[in-house]
Amino acid sequence: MKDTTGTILAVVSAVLVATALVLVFLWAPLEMTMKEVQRIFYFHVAVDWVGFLAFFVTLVSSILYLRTAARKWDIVALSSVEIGALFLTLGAMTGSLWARPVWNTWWTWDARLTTVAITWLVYLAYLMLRGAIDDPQRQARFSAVYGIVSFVTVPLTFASVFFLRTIHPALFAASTAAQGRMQFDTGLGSAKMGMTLTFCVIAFTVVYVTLLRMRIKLERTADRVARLQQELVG
Amino acid sequence: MSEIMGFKNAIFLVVAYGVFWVGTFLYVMTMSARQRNLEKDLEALEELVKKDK
Repeated sequence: MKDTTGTILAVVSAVLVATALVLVFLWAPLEMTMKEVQRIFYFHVAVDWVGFLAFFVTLVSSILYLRTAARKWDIVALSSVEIGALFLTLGAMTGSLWARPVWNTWWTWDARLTTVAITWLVYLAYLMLRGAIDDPQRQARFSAVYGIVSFVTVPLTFASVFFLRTIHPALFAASTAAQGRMQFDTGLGSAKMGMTLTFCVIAFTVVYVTLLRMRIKLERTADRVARLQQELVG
Repeated sequence: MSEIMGFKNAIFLVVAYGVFWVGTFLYVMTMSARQRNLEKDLEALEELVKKDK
């Protein structure tokens, strides 16, 4: 059976990511202090955004699973955690490759990096613990509760740059203006940089939707295979 | 000197984008391979169920 929506999503994702690459390398201006290596920033932020979005989708799906006990929500939660863990891994790797020339170190136990590492480990544990439970209903219930509780690490990671001492740049840092009013500073020196980043975030969100759809389809097919196997044995 | 440093640092940029592409590509390829295998299993099982009936 042909999956037209899946094909359209894949093509749109490819076009958006190709356009994002053009914007990053040809349109966004060169940052004067860090030079070329600053261009890692656009994909690094977008990839981390997808990681955290994926964990938010897991949170919502887990709540919906506990309310309805419908297998579809368990599938969405599992699929989203897997993609989130992948993207957070890629985010940490790209961040590390950015940190080496800029901070002169691959990794430092700074507040933001530490909270990201905790989030990453918590969600890897989700995947491992899930695999350790045999009974499907217990597995889904346990995963849903874990998926809700573990989301605590996501706002903690965001808040870490505001409340703790960190060398990690804050993309949307609140600062007190001369008049005493709070204002938000994006930290980007040029409007073109801001637009490029926004485009990358949108492009990667579409990539996330495409991957999520693929992963859900895979889990549904696995369910059908398991059902037929049971039917034959029974 | 600054140009040499800029070139040296550009390697990090290339590797970072490379890591992203390789990671995503491997994940998509793994998913596609698993999907293909499952679809083959599904077809075989459907045949068996038909014969069984």
